[in-house]
Amino acid sequence: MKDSDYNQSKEKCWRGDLTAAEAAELQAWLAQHPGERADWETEVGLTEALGKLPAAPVPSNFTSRVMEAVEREAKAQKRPRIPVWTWLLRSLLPRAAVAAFLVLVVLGYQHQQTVARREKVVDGVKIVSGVSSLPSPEILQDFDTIRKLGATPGPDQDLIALMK
Amino acid sequence: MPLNLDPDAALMLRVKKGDTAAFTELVEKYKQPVMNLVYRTIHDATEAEDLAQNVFVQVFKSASRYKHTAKFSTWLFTIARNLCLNEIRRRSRHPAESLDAPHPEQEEQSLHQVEDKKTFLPPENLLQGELAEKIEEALADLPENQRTAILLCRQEELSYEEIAEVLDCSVSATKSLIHRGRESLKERLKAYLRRGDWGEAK
Repeated sequence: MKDSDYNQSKEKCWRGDLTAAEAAELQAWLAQHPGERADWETEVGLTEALGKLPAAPVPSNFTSRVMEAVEREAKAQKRPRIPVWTWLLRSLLPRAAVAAFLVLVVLGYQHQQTVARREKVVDGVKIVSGVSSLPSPEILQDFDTIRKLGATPGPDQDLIALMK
Repeated sequence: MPLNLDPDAALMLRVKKGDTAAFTELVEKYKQPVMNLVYRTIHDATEAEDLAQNVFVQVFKSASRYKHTAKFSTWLFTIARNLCLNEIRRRSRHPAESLDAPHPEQEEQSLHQVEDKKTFLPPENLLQGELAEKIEEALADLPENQRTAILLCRQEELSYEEIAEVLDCSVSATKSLIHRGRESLKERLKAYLRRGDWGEAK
């Protein structure tokens, strides 16, 4: 028996598949390799322990409960299916109505904004059209001079007082 | 129908044709192995019952998709494992304490009750009970794939190829999972296993 055979025996032990002949061969190998005996005993102990784990509790009415659930499932599958167009009408109509309302609100707002903008433009045009009746720009040729006159210093108050 | 058809596959073919008696037979045969796996994955008896029930309902619903080339038990355990994983994912997304979880004081009280009950058991049963508890704890602490591989290998006696199919990995990866899982268990249970308590406590 080789070391690789020992590993194979371990894998068989995991499933509890070791035959009597294989077990005898393994014991002979372990006699030559006493260092592995402790590991082997732990392997065997663990395999036995796992094999003796208590079964999980299963209620006595488990099968009948499963069959009831299956029947419910079968009934649900047999239930007549709603035609696609009915389903579409039922599920999509309220959503379509809400969407249409929102679209109308947005369109109304946009229309109002356009009208307001147009009114502003009309007012602007009216102001510009009134500009044609203004006097000719020639009368403003001395505008700067006249404006500067206003910027001259005021009367000398001390001189006025002396003259008085 | 092939001559060497797996008896469970033959039952499943009858289920496909709507035979509920065949389905009942399959439920009766596999309710315990499925509960063993689900209970040790979920760690909650009530939820394990519901989940195991769902496994069989899922089997019935998916009967039309079953191919008799696959071994029934492999297919069944794959469904069971997937539902368990879904449940684990659901729990991790919604971590909430169960309403049935006992209050710390009640828990303490119930532990005392268990201890009282145990004192009436014969010594060998007491030992067996303690060891079972230790190994259940050690199994619960293993990663899910290692635990499932070990349980399917030892308790349900599936071949390595079948376990690999359930776990959706290679045979060598499956053996490696079992090896690592067993090493962890051996490390934790060394004292009990070397004493040979399991062999004596019958």
